[in-house]
Amino acid sequence: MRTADAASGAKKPVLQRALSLLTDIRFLRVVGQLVFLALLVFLLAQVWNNILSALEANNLNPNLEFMQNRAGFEIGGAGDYSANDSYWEAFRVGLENTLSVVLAGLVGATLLGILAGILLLSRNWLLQNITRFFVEILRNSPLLVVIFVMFFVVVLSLPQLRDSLTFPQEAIATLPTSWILLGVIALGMWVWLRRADAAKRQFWWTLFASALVTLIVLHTLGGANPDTWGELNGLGALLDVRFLVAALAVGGGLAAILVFMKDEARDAALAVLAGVAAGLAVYYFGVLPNGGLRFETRPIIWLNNRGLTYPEIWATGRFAEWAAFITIGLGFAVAIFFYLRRQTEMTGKPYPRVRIAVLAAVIFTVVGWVIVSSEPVPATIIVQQDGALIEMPVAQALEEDLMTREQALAYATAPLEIVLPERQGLRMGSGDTLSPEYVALLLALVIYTAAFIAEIVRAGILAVPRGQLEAARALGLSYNQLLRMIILPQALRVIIPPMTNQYLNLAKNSSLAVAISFADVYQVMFTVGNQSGQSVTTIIIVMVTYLVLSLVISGIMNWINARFQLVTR
Amino acid sequence: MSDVTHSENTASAEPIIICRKVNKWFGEFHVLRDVTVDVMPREVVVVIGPSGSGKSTFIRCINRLEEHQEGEIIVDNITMGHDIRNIAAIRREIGMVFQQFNLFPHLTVLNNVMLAPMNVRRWSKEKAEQKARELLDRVGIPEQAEKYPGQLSGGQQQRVAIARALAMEPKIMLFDEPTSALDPEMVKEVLDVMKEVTSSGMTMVCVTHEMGFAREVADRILFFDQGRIVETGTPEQLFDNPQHPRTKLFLSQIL
Repeated sequence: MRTADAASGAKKPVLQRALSLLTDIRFLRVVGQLVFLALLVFLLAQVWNNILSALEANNLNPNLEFMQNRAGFEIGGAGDYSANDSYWEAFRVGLENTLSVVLAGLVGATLLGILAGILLLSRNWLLQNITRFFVEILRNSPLLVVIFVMFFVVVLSLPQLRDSLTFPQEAIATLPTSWILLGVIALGMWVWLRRADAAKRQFWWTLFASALVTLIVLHTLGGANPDTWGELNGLGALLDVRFLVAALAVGGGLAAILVFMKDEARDAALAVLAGVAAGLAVYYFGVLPNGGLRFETRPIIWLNNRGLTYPEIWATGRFAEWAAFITIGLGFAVAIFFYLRRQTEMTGKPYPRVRIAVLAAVIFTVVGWVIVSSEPVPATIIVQQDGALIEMPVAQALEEDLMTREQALAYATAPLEIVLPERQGLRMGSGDTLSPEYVALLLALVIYTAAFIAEIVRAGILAVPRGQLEAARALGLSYNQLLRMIILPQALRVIIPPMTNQYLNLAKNSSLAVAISFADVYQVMFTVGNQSGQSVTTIIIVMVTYLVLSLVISGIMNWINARFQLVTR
Repeated sequence: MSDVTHSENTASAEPIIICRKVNKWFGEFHVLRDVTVDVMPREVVVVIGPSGSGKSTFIRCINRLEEHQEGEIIVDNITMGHDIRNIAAIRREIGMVFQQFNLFPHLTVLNNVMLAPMNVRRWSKEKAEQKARELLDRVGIPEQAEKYPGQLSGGQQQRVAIARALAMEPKIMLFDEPTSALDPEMVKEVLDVMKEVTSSGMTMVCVTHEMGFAREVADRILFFDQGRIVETGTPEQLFDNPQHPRTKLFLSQIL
């Protein structure tokens, strides 16, 4: 029995109720969604069917078994892979290359982008406009063009191997002992005067500066010491007289100042004259030693059109011990940091907790290195010489270069062994090399993404209202505190969401590596697809790879973002 | 503290703020013209005048939120110049309350109030927190300490801003139109707090359009027009018997 389900209670004809249902928005919403879902399922089924039938026509069925087949192609620069390995191995190499370029790119783009963003707000007209110029050029070029420019114009036009650019240049430099001494004195004064008041600081620095000027003038006039000055000018006899006069003049000046001048002017004049006197004394008594420290610089980084070569770093047999020292040091530093922070909070006394913690970690690291390296080495070693195994002292084996790499590492005294790059004929004999493709791709991704990040950072900083800065200044916060406690937390809130987009862009843009044949995951899988004919499956693998990469990046960024959001009503 | 002791104090002591022939330009625009005024310790000075007359710029020059180009400003015997140490020293002794509150939105109310004492005065956390809770109690919102500024009403935010400025234990308080951005029904709660602050003997310079408040608490009123102090006097003199025609016109339009 149909009861009054209309609120009015008036019975309506069935047809009219059905018609009113057709104009009911709730009903229409549900129907609309159902229709859309049906269409979508139908379309996808059609597409999938088409793919399957097309594959079947070519005797292929989509699964992952073919990935275990022999790859049969080489990948440049992959030491642990050969053409005899499976497609999965090739995929792994590509994935490693992609991850390596993406991770390095994210770090580089973030640092460069933040720097450029701050420069865009610089009050220095030149800095600001140069940065603006580069940012505009990069933001308005296609990334592919930037990659090509980096590869063909920048990296491939680097000099040939034998003319490699090296840093630092191979050279011998001498640092005079007197300059080292002056540096030490200056450093001592800086430490000593750091907490002194302005007047005292000015006095001693003026004294130091005028002594330095006096010394430089005397050196230029007469050479390294007073004896040669006399000889050079044939005035040896007059030397003492001249110094006597100078000393009298300076002494008289000092006396006059002490008697006649007052307050600040007196301090300044006193500092200058005392400095001149000190300079004269140092010069005359020849206190400053001759000679100096000799430096031999050897190239650490080589840059040529075959890529960028940097030192090999090997962990030796003693590395684990040293790593233990470092771990303990870090733990200790963290403990000190939190303890001091608590002390500061409790008592209000400011301890330089970051500096103390860093110092603790550094001391552990350095002392650990010294202790670990000073442990005794076994006296003898068994090496192969002229086909026979013989036992000989380690030093001798080292000298005659008879140890294998493994033995050398096991018997090394230092925890780390660094092998500097060296050229051997037509190739690099030692050192790890980044391929030109890698360098070009990384550079292009970094500068291109940094241009966008720069604008995001600039916008983020500008988004902090002026009133915030005024309030912080009115409270007496220093510029550093203002930046750290007020601007940064508020700017980050604005910066992080668009930054996430840029990070995702960088990760996905790395697939443009295919343009310069860098073996990233897309390029490798492209080859796999071509070779095996399993293009649908390989494309799906590539898509899933980038999907996972993107989800990881945005997951991390969302977590960070949630921590910076403001609480409002 | 009665008005009588106020004037006795002001008569004997040294001025705590001295402005001599202060001039300032924004580009071509001459905002402050030969502003000369002394403020005595514990004195309450209210600055009134039409908008654009330079009254906000004037009090912002006192703690160097704006830089004056000519003349001399001496606060608590420290000369305001280009020396950052002097600027910092002066700012430590001056609290300021803004029209737009300018609370730090990423910090809780309590942390807003504790920030400067801990980082500028280097107080311990306990001392700063105790002071902060005391002040929040004084401005009447002890229960909001753990909330964020975005969760408070305008009147409550402005009271937090006053507590934040007082937490540094300043010798001088500057108020830059503290009630202008508030809903009418919240003006009173802020004015009540300000009256309470004046009664504690704080030196105060206040820009406001609240003439009732000015009449009630001010020791002296400065009337600004076109960057000049046109007229100055006690509230009675200025409101009841203005001398300058510009003052008369202004008062006739707002009262």
